[in-house]
Amino acid sequence: MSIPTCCWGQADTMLRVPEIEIIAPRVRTQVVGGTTNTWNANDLAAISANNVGELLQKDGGVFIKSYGMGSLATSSIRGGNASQTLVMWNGFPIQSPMLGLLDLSLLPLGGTEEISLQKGGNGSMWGSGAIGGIISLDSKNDFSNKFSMGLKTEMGSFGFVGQQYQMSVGNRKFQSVTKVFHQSAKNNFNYQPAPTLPDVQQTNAEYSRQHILQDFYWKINPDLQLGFHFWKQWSHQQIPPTIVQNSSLAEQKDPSTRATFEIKNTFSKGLVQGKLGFFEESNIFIDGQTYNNKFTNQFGELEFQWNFNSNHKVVIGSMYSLTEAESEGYVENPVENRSAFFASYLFQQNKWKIKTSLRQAAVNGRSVPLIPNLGIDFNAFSFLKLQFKAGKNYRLPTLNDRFWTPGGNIDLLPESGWNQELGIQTQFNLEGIQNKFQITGFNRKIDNWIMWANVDGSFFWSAVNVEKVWSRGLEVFTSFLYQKNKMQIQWDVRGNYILSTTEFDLERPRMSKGTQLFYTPKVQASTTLILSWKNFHASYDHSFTSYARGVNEGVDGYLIGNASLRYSFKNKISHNHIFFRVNNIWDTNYFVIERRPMPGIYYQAGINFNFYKKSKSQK
Amino acid sequence: MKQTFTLFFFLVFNFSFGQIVSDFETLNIEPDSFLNGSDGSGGFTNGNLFFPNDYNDAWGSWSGWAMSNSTDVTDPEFTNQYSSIVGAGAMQSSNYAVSFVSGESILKIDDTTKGDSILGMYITNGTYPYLVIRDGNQFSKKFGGVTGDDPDYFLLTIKKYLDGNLSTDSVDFYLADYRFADNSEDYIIDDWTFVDLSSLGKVDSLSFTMASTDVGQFGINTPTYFCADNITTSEIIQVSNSNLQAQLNVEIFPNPTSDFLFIKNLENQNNMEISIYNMLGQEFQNNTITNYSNSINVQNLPKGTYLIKVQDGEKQHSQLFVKQ
Repeated sequence: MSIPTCCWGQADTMLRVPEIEIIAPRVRTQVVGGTTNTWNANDLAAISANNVGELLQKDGGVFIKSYGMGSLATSSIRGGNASQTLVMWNGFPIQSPMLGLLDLSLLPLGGTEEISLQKGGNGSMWGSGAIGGIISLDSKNDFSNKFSMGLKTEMGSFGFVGQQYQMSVGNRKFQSVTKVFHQSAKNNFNYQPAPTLPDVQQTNAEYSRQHILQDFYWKINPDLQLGFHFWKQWSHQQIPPTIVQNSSLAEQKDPSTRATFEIKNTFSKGLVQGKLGFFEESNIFIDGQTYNNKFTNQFGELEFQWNFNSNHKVVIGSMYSLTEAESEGYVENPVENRSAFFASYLFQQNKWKIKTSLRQAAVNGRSVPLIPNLGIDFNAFSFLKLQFKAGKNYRLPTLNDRFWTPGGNIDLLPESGWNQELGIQTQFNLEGIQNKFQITGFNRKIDNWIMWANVDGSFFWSAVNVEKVWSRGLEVFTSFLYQKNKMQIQWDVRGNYILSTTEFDLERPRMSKGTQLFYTPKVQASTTLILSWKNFHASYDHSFTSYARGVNEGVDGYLIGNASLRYSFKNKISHNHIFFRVNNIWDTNYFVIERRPMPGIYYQAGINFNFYKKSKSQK
Repeated sequence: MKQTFTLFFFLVFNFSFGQIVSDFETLNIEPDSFLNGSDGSGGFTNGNLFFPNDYNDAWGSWSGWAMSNSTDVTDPEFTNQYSSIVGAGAMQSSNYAVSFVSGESILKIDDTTKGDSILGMYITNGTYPYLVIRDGNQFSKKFGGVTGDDPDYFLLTIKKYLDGNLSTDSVDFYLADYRFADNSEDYIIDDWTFVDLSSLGKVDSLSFTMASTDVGQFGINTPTYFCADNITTSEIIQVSNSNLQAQLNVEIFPNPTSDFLFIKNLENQNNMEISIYNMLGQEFQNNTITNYSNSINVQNLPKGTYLIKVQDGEKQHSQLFVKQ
């Protein structure tokens, strides 16, 4: 279990952390006024999770709406829905423009060298969808690498098998990073459908996923650098029956191809960066009939950063995207082009850091509201930091919202609204025990919330704008760290209290003013204890998720415990782990979504080898 | 369009009945196909009934009534929404009607016969809702739930409109009923079943609504379809007395009744032969009474409209009564 790197450095370092670029850090990626959790390659190699969804749930305090082990997993950040979380790969959104969401269980850990989670919106910098938060998957180069190779293999209960291969070759001018992932499981776990009934075995729940990722980096000269990233994904998963369904034969395939190219030129006063992206993805659902949905996304982006001096920096940029989609659900296949101009100003002096941003976007030539944002960090004392962020965020309707037949509504307005957050961070060292504490309160009101509803007695569901959804809450995190000789003890406690309520009445779906949104638990809390001694690392985490409203029945709260043991060993040319995990150690019978069972206790074990050779100057 | 016109099955009475049966057999469609209003007609007519539907041309969606001869009894998907679970119409006929009830489906009697009685109709489940009720799907539960003990039901409620007013009386028909203490008695309708609507009396149109115990925040999860065939309308035909037997002078009361009918013969003290028929002409009861036991027990009769015939020698009397 790792902790947010905003709080602690890692005690156990590995070689795959890319060397830090000291040239002109991008203003655009700097988060001011809010917090970011970042997991680097070391963290990702050690974490007890099988995909990005599990990482965010276990380590990011994010509620993951999971339809079951290996099944669809989407995020709810700060009371927002899945389409209000922006998920990016190397700076471009990878959510489906048709559905507006992304299955986080499809994203392998280690596919990129860095994953970050930014709670709270930042639409002025990143555009549509960044309302609840932003998940970024970023490839990082390491020009000090000469050769490295990694091998990770694991297996576990319910036929789980995972393999990961990585090879990096290069020099100070050129780097090639190749990664191959395979993960599959029969997923035939037993569950108890009702307290009075014996266990039954889950059926039609197998999944198999493969990924190939290739990165090329070319440093033409110290200032000019090219990067190319390619990601091919195959995913095939069966859709298991609900507990009130006799059987299921449904299955789904999600093949995708993604590629980005970037060129970055730095100079003494700033940088210029251009990026291109091409994403193609299909979603093939088979259940008697075959439903084939497909889209392509093409992106172009240009960004210019000018550093007047160390105190004043400015960014301006523009982006353009062209989206085309195909589906039997469309009368005519929609084409959507989006464009945006953005600008940001960063002021940094002594205890202050202030960033303001502005974005003007347009969809098919129609402007959306101007999106401003302001973030302030104030380091009042060495042990106290205050943060404030306020801004407007928005989400454009998805293609299905606008064009699906029946029910699509081409006249939908974008969701938009203001959010504010205030945070306090403290850091103390009390007789050898380091403590960090962080508390953040947020408030957000979104107008023109988009949902599918039955209005005016119509016999089909339509996408409509409803009045307002009000989300507010408190997030608390504290961590204690004690180190002595070769022993380290770390204790983390995290809690969220989130109210996300409708400010309107609706008949179908049945919603009344002041009620909590579906699948949005008010309380999430977790605690993690990590003991490290020499090369041994043991961790236990316990989490509580409160009751949530479901569309059919309420979903009771649940307590889940997980434990893991890891042994690390390294020498001059390798760094390796052996690990063993026990998930749901108390064999809790629970549901995240009603009618969708989750597995009881299950085990996973594996080994992770990493060999490397650095360039001489870096040894 | 075909009309089956059964005339004068009570010729001996001083008024008689004709029947108009909407059986859809003369509606001409391709095998294994359907009409759902995509022709923009807003519905179709069969017999003396009009079956309205609401078709959205832009979105290819519909509600109300469709006419079908689909035969698929195995495909549990939405795309099989036009099939009856029998795989045919009533009495193994080809064509039948399917209703997708979005809030309410309406069936109208044409102007010439408005105010007549709809005696009844054959009803069964569609293949799509039947298989969803039996097996569940990703959105709907199998009835009975995980234990089989959930008291689930899928209910069709039929009311009448008369002179623009919706009646409070209704006929309930359970397309599936899992409320029995003994789960072996739970059932899903899988055959054409006659539903007697004569208790509704005179109607201008019928209203069909559906309810299910599998209901979530988004409404009913069970697909709200049912199939109908052989919808029988009673047409009252006044027949000249000159062609009939001599009239018997009797009084029959109360009407409507829930338990007993009293028959007062105003002419003599002879025994009288009493016969009771439903609106399909089926004899339900036959009694002989004397002046001293001038009542008959009708408690066991199903609710509905009946015809009672009183015969005394060469004379007779007949009239309608309603069993409540």
